[in-house]
Parts: sequence; C-alpha cells; structure tokens
Amino acid sequence: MNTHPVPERCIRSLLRVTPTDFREAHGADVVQLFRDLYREALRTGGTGAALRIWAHTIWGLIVCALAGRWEQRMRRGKGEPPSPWKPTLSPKRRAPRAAVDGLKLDLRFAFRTLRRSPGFTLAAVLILGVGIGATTTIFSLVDTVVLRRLPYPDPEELVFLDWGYHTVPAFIEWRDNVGSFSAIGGVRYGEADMTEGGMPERLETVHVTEGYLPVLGAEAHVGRLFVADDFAGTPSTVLLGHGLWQRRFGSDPSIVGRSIHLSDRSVVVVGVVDPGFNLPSSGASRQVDVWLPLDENSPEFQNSRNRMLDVIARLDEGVSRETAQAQMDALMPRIAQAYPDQYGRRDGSLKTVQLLPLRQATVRRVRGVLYVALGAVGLLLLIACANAASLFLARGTARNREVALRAALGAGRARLISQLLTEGSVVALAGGALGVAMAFLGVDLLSRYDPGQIPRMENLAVDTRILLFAVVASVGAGILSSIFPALQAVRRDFSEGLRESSVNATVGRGGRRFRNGLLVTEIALTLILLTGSGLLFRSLVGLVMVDPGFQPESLVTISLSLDGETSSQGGTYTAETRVQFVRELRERLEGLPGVRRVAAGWTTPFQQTGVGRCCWGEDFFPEEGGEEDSASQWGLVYPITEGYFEVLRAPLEHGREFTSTDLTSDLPVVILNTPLARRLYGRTDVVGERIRVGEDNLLTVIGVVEGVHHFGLDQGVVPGVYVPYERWGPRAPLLSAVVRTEGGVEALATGIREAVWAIDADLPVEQIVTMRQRVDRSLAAPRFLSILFGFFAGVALLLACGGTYGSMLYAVGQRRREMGIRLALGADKRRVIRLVLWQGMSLTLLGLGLGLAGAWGLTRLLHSILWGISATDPSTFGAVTLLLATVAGAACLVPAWGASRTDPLKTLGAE
Amino acid sequence: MDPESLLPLNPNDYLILFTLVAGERHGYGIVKEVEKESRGRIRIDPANLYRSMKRLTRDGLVKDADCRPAAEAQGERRRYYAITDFGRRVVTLEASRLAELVEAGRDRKLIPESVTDR
Repeated sequence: MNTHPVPERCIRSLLRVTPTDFREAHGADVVQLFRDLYREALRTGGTGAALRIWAHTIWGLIVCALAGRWEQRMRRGKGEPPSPWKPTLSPKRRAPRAAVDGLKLDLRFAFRTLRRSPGFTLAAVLILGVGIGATTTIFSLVDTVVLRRLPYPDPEELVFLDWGYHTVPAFIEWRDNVGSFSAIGGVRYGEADMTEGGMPERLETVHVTEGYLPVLGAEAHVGRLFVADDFAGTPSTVLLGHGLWQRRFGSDPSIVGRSIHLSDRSVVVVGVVDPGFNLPSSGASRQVDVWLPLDENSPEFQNSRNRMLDVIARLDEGVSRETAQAQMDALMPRIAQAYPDQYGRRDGSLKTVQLLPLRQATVRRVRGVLYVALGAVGLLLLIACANAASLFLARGTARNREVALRAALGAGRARLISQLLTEGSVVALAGGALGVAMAFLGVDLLSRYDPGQIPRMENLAVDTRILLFAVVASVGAGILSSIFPALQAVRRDFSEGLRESSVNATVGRGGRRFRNGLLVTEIALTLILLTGSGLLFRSLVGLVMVDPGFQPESLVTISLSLDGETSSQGGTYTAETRVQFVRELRERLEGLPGVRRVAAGWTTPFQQTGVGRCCWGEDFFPEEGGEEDSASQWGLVYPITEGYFEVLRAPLEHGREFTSTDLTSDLPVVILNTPLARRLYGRTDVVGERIRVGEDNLLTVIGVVEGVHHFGLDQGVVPGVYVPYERWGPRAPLLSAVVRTEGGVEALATGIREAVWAIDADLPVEQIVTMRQRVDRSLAAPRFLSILFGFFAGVALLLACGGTYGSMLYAVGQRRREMGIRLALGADKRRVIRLVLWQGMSLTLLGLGLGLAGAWGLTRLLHSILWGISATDPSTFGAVTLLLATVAGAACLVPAWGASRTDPLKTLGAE
Repeated sequence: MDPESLLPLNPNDYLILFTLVAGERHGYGIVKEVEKESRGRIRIDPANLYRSMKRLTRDGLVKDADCRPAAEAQGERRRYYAITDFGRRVVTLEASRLAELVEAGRDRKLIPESVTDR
C-alpha cells in the first residue's frame, strides 16, 4: 500500500509546534498511529474517511500544542526559575545599522506599502499563486517522469534493446559477441500462484538472466542476490519483492533460507530485494513479487519462437552508443540466418535492433503528452502574469504622486525601479508560497487519480528540486509582471506627476498601449487554452459515445489461468480437464442467485486495452480464392463458448450463435465479425460460405456478428473470427468468463470465488471486475487529460474575465471626466455604453484573432492524443471563440453600464 | 501516591485505562477499542492519545510493555502499553465513582429505564 506523503508530511510539520518533551517522547508514535488509522480509513471508508482522520489528527495536534504551551506557562507562573541555558530575549531592539543595504531597505518598504493596500496585495498573490501552483504541480510530474535521472547507478550508460521481446538465443549471441557492453541482462515477465498459508494468490513474477540485476545495480535488503549456481536447471531459489515480504511474511528476516510453495513447486528464498529498486518500465511501475533465475538452457527458453525477453545492457566506460550499435548491426546477419522468421523480413532484408538510451525508452510514450501539459500550464502562468501586471500598472498610476515625490527628493530611477521590482517579487514569492501549498495538494490529487500509464508515478512528490523550481518561477513571474509597470512609472515626467491631482491622473499613451496589449495577450492565450481543452473534451465525449458493440451494464468478468504442465508456472490442467472445468464453472455460476447466464472464452472485451493484440492471429482465405497473398486477410481468433454473444448482448447481423450441437458435429464452424467479412467478401451476408485457415482447415460460416470492440473504444473493431472453445480453446490456459446478472453485481464476488474454489481450491481468482469498470478504466487516460486541461482552461477563463473586467473598470475610471462632460452635454446613455463596450470589444476581438492563429498552430501538438476529431476542428474553434467573446463582452458590459450612470455634477465637481 | 487524588479522571484517560484492563494494547488498538466500546461516538486523535499516555505513564498508571509486530500494521513493530496495579486501583475507584453518579441519577429519575436496560 502506498504511503501518502502529503498528509503525513503535514502531520510531521505540525508536530513541530507541540512542546519539545512531548515531541521527543511520542512524535514518532503519533505519526505511526496516524499512518495506521489513515491507511485503514482509506481501505474501508475511502478518501472521505481518510480526510476526516487527517483533519481530526490535525485538530488534535493543535489542541495538544495549545494545551502544552498553556501548561508550560502555568508551570512558569508557579515560580519555576527560567532555565539558565536559555537566555531570554532582550526587550531592547537593536539599533539600526548605519549601512543597511539597499535590498533590505527595499524589502522593508515593500512590506510596508503592500500592507497598506491589502486588497491589491491579496488579488495579486491569489492570481500568481494559482498560476505558480498549477505550473509547479505539472512540472513536478514532468520532472519525476521525464527529466530526472533514472534511479540506477550511472544511468546514462544504460541502453534498451528496442521493442523488447527478444529470444533467448539472440540474447546469448549479443551477450557473447558485443564487446561494447560491460554487462547485459534480460528479464521475462510472468505470473505464479502462491498457495502458502490460506488464500491462494496470483503473484507478479519475473525471470531474470544472470546479468540483469547487476546491470541495474540492484541490492539485497535481506539475504543475498542470485549467484551463478542459481541459474542452472529448474529454478530452486527465489528473491522476494519487498512488498510481498512485508505483506505475506510480516517483514520477517528469518525467511531467508526457508522454502515456500510457488505454483506447486518448492523453492528456497535466498533474499529480499531492496524496496527502492523498481524495474524500468514504460508504463505504470510493476510491483514484482517474486524474482526467479532464468535458465538459458531450458527447452522453453531455447525455443527461438519464444520472444519474451526485455534486454538492457550497460555500455563500457567511454564507449559511444554508435559504436555499440555498429557491433549489434554486424551481428545481425548471423542471427537472422539462424532465426529468419524472427529477425528477417519477407523481402530478405534484415531487421535492426536499435539501442535506445534507457530513459528515452521508458518515457517515449508519455513524454509528448507531458510536455503538452507543461506547455498548457505555462500559458496559464503567462495569463496570470499578464493579469498581475495590469494590477501593478493600475497601482503604479495611483501612486504617481508618491513616485514623483520620491524622485524629487533625490531617488534615482534605478533605485525606484528596484523598489518596484522588489514589491513585485515580494508579491510573487507570497504567491509562490501559496502555489507550493497548492502544488502539495495537486501532486496528491495527481497520484490519487493516476491514470495508470505513467512510469515512476510512485516517486511523485514535492521535494527540494520542485521547491527550487517554484522559487525561480515565482521570482520570474514577479519580475515579468512588474518590470513593465515599473519602467512605465519612472519614464514619465515627474514634475507633471507632482502637479497633477490624483483624481485625473492618467497613464499616458504608452501606459494605455501597454495595458491594451496585456488585455489582448490575455484573451489570446486564454483562447488557445480553451481550444485545447475543448478539443480534448470533444474527443473524450466522442469516445464515450462509441457503441462498444455489446451492453456492458450488469456484466461481471472473471479472469483465470488454467495452467498445464508445459507452462513455466507449472500446473495440472490438460485439454480435457479444461473443457470439464469450463462446463462445471458455467453450471455453478449459473446456479448463483442473481445470475442470468454465463459464457467464457480465451478473452473477453476490454480485458486488455490499447494497441496490443492478444492472443492468436491467423491469415484467412475465402475458399474459392487462391493461395495468393492478396486474397488472404489477417484476423484474430477468439475461442468462445456457446451463449457468448447472448451474454454480452452483442447482436448478430446474420446467422446464429454456436450451440451445443456445433461442438459434436464433424463440420467445423465459425462466426465472422463484420470487418473481416467485408474484407474477405465485400459484404456481410456470408452465412454458408467457407473460409480456409492454414493448410487444411475449412470452416463454415454460421453467423456474422456486428462489431464487438475488444481492445478499447478508441481501437475500432479488429477483424476476427469466433470459434468454439471446446474445439480450439483448451490448448492454452487462458480463460475469461463473463456473467450476465440481474442488476446488483457487487454482492456476487464472494459467490463467484467460492464457485471457482469449489472446483479447484488452489486456483487464484484475482480479477473479478464489472465490465463497466473495465470500460471506465480504458477511458482513464483521456479523462485525466480532459480534466487537467479543463481545469487549466477554467482558471484561465476566470482570470481573463477578471482581467477584462478590471481593465475596463480602470479605463472607465480614467475617462470619468470625459463621460461626465459627454453626459452633461446631453449624450445618450446608450451611446456611452456603446462607446465603452466598443473600446473593450475591439481589444477582445483583436485578442481572439491572435488567439485563433496561435491555437491553429499549437493544437497540432495535440494531434496524437485526440481521437475522432481533427486538431483544427472548426466547430470547436467556433464554440470556444463564441464562449470567450460572450464572457469578455459580459465583463465589459458591467463597467460600461456603470459609466452610463456617471453623475456629471459629481465628477466635474470633484475637480 | 493516593489514588483518590487523581480522581475524577479525564474522560479520555478513563477510557484508555478501561481498554487496557482487558490486556496490553498498542496505540492503534486503544483507539479502535475505544471507538468500538463507545459505538463509534468517541474517537481519540493520535496527538491527544499520546498526551494522555504521557500523563498516565508519568503518574504511574500505565507502563510500556514491549515492542512487537502488530497484525493490522502488516507486521511492523509497535509499542505496547500495559496497565499497572496502581492504574488498576485508580480505574476501579473511578468506575465506582461513576457508578455512584449513575445511581444518583437514577434515583432522581434522570435516566429512563430503557437506557439502563440496554
């Protein structure tokens, strides 16, 4: 289970305010107890309960701290002498040093003036805080995932042999013949069952070659790592992952040397891997439970069709990647000759195995998206800066006289600018502090709503690097938002400033132009963000609206693995017992209350989503077509039981489903899906046609099913055929059952587990998920991005709206005299409204135009993460433009209306 | 020390001693037991629990037992507490004090019958 760094860190820092003796005696206990309670609440009551525990603990700490101080004071009041070791502070204030440096003076002055206008200060701090907070949060994500060095020794020497899935014989060739590698190792992912004491559990296992753990510099937490002897013959030794060791063996160090039962085999534990060690992964990190030595000479691994190894190598010191690549390429002809079907192409050319820096290999899938997110949040920060800048500018004008007076008293321009910049930086740093607090919250939210496909998410935390970033971002934002207003303030003619009354002080042409520029920029940037967010949202909506081809409601799915003797996990299942198991499973499950019907197959829809295609593909030919390649069509083969489509409620376009008679009749039958039928025949009413597979299998089509999305809503319907499980299925251990229920699905899990264990008590049942959950999970990544961008765009819209409003209010204030005169001379109120509106809207329109151009250029970056919608979709562009125009219009209308109600007597009388 | 001088006990202290009478517990165990005994109405927060423990240990009502693995903490080690003989005397006195109060309340018909029957 994850610890939750933010709440715990919060508790730790609060502990600092409790009395020292309490903290020293029980500080650690409080944190530990809090952690236990928090975990338990999270497990049983969810986030809400956990947050209540958090709040309760914080409250308790505050009470405790107050009570402790009070007790101390009471004790002191009773006449205990003050400790001689703690000198009391002298009440006399230190005399100011003669030479206080400029910065100090600036700072003190900045604090004083800011305190005098709390409204301005608060608004500026809030605006910059939101921008800095959001930027810091996303930066911490990018930093953890993309920028940071990998957590292995000398990580820049590590290379990944691209695309993974290499054969063991090829691996041995590379290991023995590529001189540029100082070490090389391979890993193969798998699963195993542990039946040790109580419930059987399915574990994540990996087989590693001798070089693998040393290449990555892994260390043992307890015991030792593998030695050469461990790698000969069937594995008899294992290493435990730290998580499993804690979970199942109570962190007991005496486990080393004991034997445990793993998939019906007894193996000896030789050590526990260090908790900080994780496998490099391009997706969510795998928690490896058990590490096994890989025996290169076993028949399973010697098979050259068995492509299963991810290979990582370490370059010799000083050797470039190009040199190593050249050596790899030189070896390729020999490997391809020995294994032509693996490393040769049809046209006789050779495939190359690319050496990629390991970090690049792990982040290439997510890097683009993360940088887009960082770009988006950067835009948000710019908008916040523009907003703050216009606040500074307004304030600068109001302080005209003060600045002029100080200049007249001898302050140089540089001095004045530095003073104003200091003010800006102080505001920005306060915003930064707020931003860091927001980043803590944001990082916590991010790790909680982890879409599950980002590597190293578990390392996500706000640390010194991130804090440093926040400080730099704050100072940058402070300078960016106050430099132009500061320059503006000192550029003017001071004598004028002294003469002018504050009522009719104006910014002058330069200032007005700058202010208008800010507004235009703000509108343009907001439009870009809104467009991106709109596109992602439309893309998500489009995905959600895709008809999966079946009805996912009230469906429960179960994944099992009926391992046989030949699999590396070891097991007792054979083809006959598998068929029997499936029959009995269906009967038992259908006997459960609330269950309508049950079917099974190798896989069920949405079991694996994404671009991978599992598990069996073949080339198909129409019977009358020849053997030429052009007539053949590739398709997936899904072995299924009868009732599969009825349970899924997937409509058949033609023909019928399998029935029990199809299993016994001599005629092999098949159901096509519409994409394959169209490709083979150009039509879908093909019932009765026969298709050829491989050498001599002729299958009669008895039905055509409409598209069932198997690999996700974004993946389309893959061409494929359905064949009877009883005939084709039992040769592999794969099994996934799908249960149509009468509504309530939560209560069924226990019944399902018991039904499985009634047939095979040692079979682990890990995955009982509703189909709805599976479908939702497949949408996690687009939803995550959509929410993220939606949040940015929402904040940007709010800032733009406030910015426009403030700006127009200010502009109207500047022109109050003019308005008063116009009204006094008999101008129509509507005319005044139109005048102000036009001033605002002309700027808005300019901003929208620039924004559209920017969005046109930038949304292309979203291309790869959009689905079913063009990155320059005109209707989205139109809708967000209209939205922003409306909001900005409303923001202009209020000040305009106010202007039309100016009382001429009052304004003119104020002179 | 005279056990009477510690009465009346702080309600939290009483509940903690009350749970320890049944046997040694660690912090988490005490919090959970108190919660159970009070039907979920009283939940002691970590800081105040250990403030009480500190006071109770100082006054000799409770002593540290030992550190050992706890089941619900996935086998991590936790500090266990036990009640002392003195603590047992104090909690007994407090219980009878409370019983007298309840008795008095019942005499004045402050407590409906149904509550006492539960």
